[in-house]
Amino acid sequence: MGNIELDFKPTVKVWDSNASLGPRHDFKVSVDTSEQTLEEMDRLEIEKAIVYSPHAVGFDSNDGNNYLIDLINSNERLIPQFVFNPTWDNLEQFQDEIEKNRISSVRMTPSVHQYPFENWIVKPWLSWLQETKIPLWIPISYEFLSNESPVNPSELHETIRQYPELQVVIADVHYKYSWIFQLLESLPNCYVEISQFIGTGAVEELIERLGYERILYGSGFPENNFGRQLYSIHQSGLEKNVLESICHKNVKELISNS
Amino acid sequence: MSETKIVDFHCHLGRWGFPRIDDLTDRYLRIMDLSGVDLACVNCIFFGNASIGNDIVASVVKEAPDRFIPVAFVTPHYQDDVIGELERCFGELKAKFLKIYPTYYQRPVDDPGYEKIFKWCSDNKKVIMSHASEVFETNPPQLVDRYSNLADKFPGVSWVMAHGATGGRHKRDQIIEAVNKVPKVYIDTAGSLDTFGGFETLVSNVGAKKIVFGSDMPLFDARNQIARIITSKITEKEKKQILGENTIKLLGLKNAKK
Repeated sequence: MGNIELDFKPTVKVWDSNASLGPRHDFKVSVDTSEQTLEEMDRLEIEKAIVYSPHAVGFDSNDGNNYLIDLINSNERLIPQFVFNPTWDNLEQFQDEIEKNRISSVRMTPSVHQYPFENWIVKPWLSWLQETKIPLWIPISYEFLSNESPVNPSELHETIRQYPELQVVIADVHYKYSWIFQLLESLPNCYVEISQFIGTGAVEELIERLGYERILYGSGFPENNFGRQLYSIHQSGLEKNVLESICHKNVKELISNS
Repeated sequence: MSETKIVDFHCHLGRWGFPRIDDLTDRYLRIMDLSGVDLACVNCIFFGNASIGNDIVASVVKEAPDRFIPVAFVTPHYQDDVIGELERCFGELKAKFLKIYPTYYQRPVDDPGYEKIFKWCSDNKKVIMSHASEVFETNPPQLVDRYSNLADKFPGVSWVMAHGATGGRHKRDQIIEAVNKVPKVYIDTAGSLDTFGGFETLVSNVGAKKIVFGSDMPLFDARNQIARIITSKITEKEKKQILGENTIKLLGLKNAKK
């Protein structure tokens, strides 16, 4: 029978690939400062976290991205991820901001910003990302930020396959989206972030079908806890190199390419 | 973790293709072992004819009687059958409590359609697990009023609000009020929603004695769900209460020591 420790600590280095930082307009988040975030990261021994601004998703990418840089205040444990909206933002200006702030990954949210994820909209942006090797995070849905429909999987498939060198992280994959297996099998340049993929044995099945190299630990903090999936993958009987890859090496390599 | 067994109060059996739920008992037991769960309380709610689901529960319990605790399910769609099925479940099949599922009935837990069921459970001093509210309700009462009325009408019943202790924001204040003001109301921890600090808020407001660990397995992986308790900032004593001691007491389980 099983046996567990009540005081859990990770056994490998951990980088969180999916956290957010900053206040929200519609309610007070339980943690909205770097200090509080770092305190919780310390408690669960998370070395680094990739963070984006919920304001950049909910309202304006430019305002939110700048706000994020202020909040991080050059702390190297918090890795800023910039959000863009291809129907509103200026590509050249965004490129300048990316360079100026040495941003290593970006995020777009078609479900919240309500545009089809199709080439006639995203082509200039995805072409640039592919060329510069900046990885792109696309959350499937933002249930905690928006009631809008999730990203259309056919649009995801059709568009991403036209950019075979672009590295795409499919994030916030709800446990009910079983099509993620076929999507990832079909698109070898896609990765999956597992904070919401919490079905029984789901992560093991991902490893079995895809290998471990494209799976990234993420939490969804602070609208979720750092510990949930971190504990879960630690209790999966994975070999140490697999656990290390999922917990930090895969994401580290991904953002180091840019 | 302790000499007391870890008991998962909220588990399902049966097959459900859409969220990838299978019926492989070996895999179920393997995940329980990896999670540290000693005993799983299992129900099957997937059949319109409740007796089919209850028979599935009985057959799985027979495979591993030291790991599974049978839970009864009846549906008010079949009013003429419910008493006979309750008697079969709690007699021949040795069920330890009743699960009802208002989502299928499209009427909330305090609908008169449940009265015959609740009257039998009250007379026989049974525990009932149910959603406390439903998304289809357009003008639901406050949970404290709902459960006060139920407690007055069916004094022999102990109530467990399924998903009441996830730590998510949804109705958190109402849950705290109902658990604190109405005797014999408990909450289980199963659920996908979460928020940093939310679980700790519940524990400090209602007390650990009113909370039971549940996973919703196999919809959710028990490792992910148990992490809500393991990685939270509550005391070891509180963790032990939630992980097993409370359920053992509530259900009057014997042989609760490892």
